[in-house]
Amino acid sequence: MKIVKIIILILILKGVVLATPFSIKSLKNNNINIVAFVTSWCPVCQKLNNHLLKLSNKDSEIFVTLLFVDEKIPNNLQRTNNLKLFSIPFLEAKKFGVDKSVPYILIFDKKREIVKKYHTFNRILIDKLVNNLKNNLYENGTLPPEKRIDLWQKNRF
Amino acid sequence: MAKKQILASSLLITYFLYILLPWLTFNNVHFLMFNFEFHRFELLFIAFEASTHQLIYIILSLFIGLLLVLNLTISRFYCGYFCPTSLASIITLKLKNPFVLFFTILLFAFVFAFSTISYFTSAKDLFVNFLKFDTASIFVSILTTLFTSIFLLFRAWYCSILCPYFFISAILPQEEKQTFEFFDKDSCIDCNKCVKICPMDDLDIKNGFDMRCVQCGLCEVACESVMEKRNKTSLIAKKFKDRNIFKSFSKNGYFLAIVISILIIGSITYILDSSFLDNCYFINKKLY
Repeated sequence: MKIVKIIILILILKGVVLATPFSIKSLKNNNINIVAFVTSWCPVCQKLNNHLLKLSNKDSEIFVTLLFVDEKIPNNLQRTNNLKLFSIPFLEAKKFGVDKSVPYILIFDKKREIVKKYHTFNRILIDKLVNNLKNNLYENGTLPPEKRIDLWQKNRF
Repeated sequence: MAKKQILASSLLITYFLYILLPWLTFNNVHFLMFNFEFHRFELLFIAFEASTHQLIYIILSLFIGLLLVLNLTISRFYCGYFCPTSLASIITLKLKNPFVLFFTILLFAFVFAFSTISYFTSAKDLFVNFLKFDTASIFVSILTTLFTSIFLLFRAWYCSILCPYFFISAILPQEEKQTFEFFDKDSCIDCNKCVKICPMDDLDIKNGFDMRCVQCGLCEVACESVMEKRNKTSLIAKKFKDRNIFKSFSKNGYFLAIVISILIIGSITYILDSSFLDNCYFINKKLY
């Protein structure tokens, strides 16, 4: 009987154990990661959610994580392979830099390093930055230093 | 019998309304407030979320729109009937002791500045935290110095050179605003009572029409009190007898004012649209 009890307990606690809290290590490697702290009541977040869902549908290179602060994950969101949904309490979200307002967007490059933080949603800025990162450029659109052609060195002799 | 001027009562009522309005709250939402602290625009106990730049645009559109509307409807009567500068000039006329005058004007300006700032942050918090010298209380102290200097030093110079209300009233057609007129030069005994009592410094109504006239009618009362002894009526009288605060300008002006007030309401509803929002604050979750 003890074994049955343990099995039942495991079945119940399975959901709790498997629903791991969000951490930066859980992000996908070799992808551009967009992490957004959002809510369902905020009109700016609703726009952001729609935009990010479209992005994750279109591009296989972009991996989107949506973190719903202080609320459950809404059911009406369509799930794709490049999308992960979490619900996170406010105090936990504070550790990542959420202060007083949502949305709060973090953008990581392919080495899982933070490139940019946004406290607002601006479609043009995010699209430009994602495009630059996809082409292995720096965030401002310049080449990495190894690939740059240094004119000063070239004309030295 | 000499007329009584109604000037002080209407000025006092507007002043006390201006002080009381920021204290009116219902469910922590004010009657009228541009709440920069919690990022919302509050009107008639209803709150809307608005970012800082939205709030600034709302204030600008209200400021410019109200200037135009008031200029087109009650024109110069605003200064004599509602402007706090006129109330301050009446205090300066009544009080003779310079020390008492200075401190009453200082208190008057402080209360005025305090209620002005409390349209932008909570009045209760500002009152409780006043001695902590945060940004709001520093703004209050800056405004008190400005208002005391305007009420005591600059006075008419401010009204005719810096006041934005005077800008627009000076541009608009002038002849229709011409109300009080000095008509009998031969009977005048040069007592200069009309010049002394005028809230505008250096304004001599005997020289003809002056744009700075605030339509208060103090000079008419003063002249009548002198001329009563000589069994004559006042030498200064209204040019258009039917002109008063309710009927001060042409019909075109009222039509334009209605159009502008509709434009103000339209622009504010346009600015408050959620597509202009930057982000949403957790405090304002109840609004949605």
